Amino acid sequence: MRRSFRAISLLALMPLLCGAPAFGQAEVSEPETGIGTDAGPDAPSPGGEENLEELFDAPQADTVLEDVAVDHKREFDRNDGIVLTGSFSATMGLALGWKDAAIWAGDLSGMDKDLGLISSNVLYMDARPSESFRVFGSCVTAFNPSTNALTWPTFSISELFCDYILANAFFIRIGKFGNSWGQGRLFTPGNLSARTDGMFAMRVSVPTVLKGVNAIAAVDSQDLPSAGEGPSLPYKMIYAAKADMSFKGIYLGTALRYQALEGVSGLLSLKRIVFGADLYCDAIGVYGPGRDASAYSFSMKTVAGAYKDWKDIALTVEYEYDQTTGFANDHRLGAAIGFNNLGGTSFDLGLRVFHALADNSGSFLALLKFRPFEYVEASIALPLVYGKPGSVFVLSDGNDVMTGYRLGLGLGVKLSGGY
Amino acid sequence: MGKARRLIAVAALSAAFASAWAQNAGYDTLLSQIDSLVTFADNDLSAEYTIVKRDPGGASSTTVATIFRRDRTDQFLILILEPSIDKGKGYLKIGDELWLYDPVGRSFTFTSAKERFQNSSARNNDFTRSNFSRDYSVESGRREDLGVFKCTVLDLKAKNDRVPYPRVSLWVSDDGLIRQMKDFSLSGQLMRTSAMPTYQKVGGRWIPSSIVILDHMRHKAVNGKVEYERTSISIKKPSLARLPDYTYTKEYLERVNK
Repeated sequence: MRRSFRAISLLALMPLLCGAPAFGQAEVSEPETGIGTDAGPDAPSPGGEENLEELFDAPQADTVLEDVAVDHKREFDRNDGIVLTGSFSATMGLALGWKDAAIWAGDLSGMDKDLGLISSNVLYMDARPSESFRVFGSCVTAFNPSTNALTWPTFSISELFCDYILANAFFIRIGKFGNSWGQGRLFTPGNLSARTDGMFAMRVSVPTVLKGVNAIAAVDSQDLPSAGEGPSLPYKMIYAAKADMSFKGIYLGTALRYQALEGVSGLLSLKRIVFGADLYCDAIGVYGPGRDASAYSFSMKTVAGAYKDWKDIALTVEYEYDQTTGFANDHRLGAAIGFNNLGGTSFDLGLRVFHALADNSGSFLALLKFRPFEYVEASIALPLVYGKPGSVFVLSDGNDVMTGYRLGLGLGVKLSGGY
Repeated sequence: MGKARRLIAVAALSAAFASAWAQNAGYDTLLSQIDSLVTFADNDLSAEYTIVKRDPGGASSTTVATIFRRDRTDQFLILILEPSIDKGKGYLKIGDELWLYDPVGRSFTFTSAKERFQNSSARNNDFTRSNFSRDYSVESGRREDLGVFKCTVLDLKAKNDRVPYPRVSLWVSDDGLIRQMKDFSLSGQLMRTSAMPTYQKVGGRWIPSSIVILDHMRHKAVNGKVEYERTSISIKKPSLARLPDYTYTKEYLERVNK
């Protein structure tokens, strides 16, 4: 009796087909190091070389400007009324999935398949009535005929916050908003503010102290076990603070996080650029109750990695050690490489692999995308999980195949556009 | 007789040395003058930059950005307006450090200011104050014509590793403005040629109206002619309007985006 693959398979693969940041590209690509490996022209070309000498034969005269008080900043600080923008996407996909380890023996008979359609619309609202006050919001509605009635049933507010600048020194953000701390791209235990994303929060930043100091108080987004008289507000609060510094080209970040029932977490981040590559490390210490809510104890997590990008290639490699997962000696490796415009075509290729050293399980994902027409993107995703039953990545929520499945294949076509 | 000859020789050598020393001192003064003419030490400078990159023999891409610059503290903020895919990206430079902001991931990346800007031939350092007299020493100089300009050519060698190129040659017109710059590797390989044929004067200081850069490391033979990656930068609406201190912070960069 095979469990129905319908719904869960597409839900598993749709994020891949919709272009989730699967390759650790959440951060902006940095400019390439610069000096290419190819030297200058090997031999003089018969037609000569391009040069700039003609620019000096009859240049325009130097000028003296009178109006030198243009307010460029106003363009970014204010807008008249409310600016509404948005994006719409519709993704049609076919997903195939194999559960059993028998596929390694060439037995593909245990295949589940599904065809689905997901549409979504995101609406952004941005009001900037003055330099010191701003309100921003975004809301999403989605339509998934495979799981919902034939209507647009889902409506959610992704973000809604206001920014206020107090005395030109304190930046205050109140509402529901995203936040990202830590340096890891594939493994992100350093993002101590992660769970503040989904709920009401207040962040106060003092940007001119050190390289920036900020503090967050947020109502926790997770269901917490009751304590005392129950999960009252103090027990639902998260408090976190972070300071950025730099010394001789080395970035240093420190952060602390406190939650009454979970204890205290601390973060130390280091980053340095060497030959155009980012080298970074996050060390996280956690002092709190154990996994079975037993006595308080201290545990560590750490991530070390490197990131480098060239003109159309980005490469990330990372190592993670985590004492809090419940697996013994949970050392993990991750690597991701992305190729844009593969071979000068409109194809983009991404490959990502995770591997657990403790039990040699892992997860692999290949994703190929191309754009046959304007606003249209086609993609093929191939996720697989390897390892013995019960091993780290077979059980992990972090792999790209639903629990119980070992191999998937997703084919998708997405029509999307902004407005 | 022999003693007299030796004295004459020593005197001649001394005179030559003194002349060379005086000339080098003059070159050093010129280098300081170059910095002074294009450094806005007393004001913030903001302007619109349009950067057109043409691949050798290939397509062009355009980036439009607004740049805010505070030379006295060696800071700048660059906000990308176009292309739409990069809209909202920002660059914040504080000293030798650079923060890149990605509005999609809401994240900052810490990097070095020596890197390329938006994968063009321009370096992030190209948008900041001129520090030739601090970062380079004059190795030699000569007079040379560059089109309509009568120039002094200064060959410079880096004094530190804060700069992207260890050797630079400057063509300086008689009004003290750099008209052409060639950047070299340590081994003498020509890496980049930049031309600044026209300037605009803003509040007693100068800023180029346009900059054209050839990247000699990115090239292709097109119809028998070697074409280089060419980046053309035009600078419009320069302004000296005063800006608050928080303009040059990550928080402001995040705020003006999504």
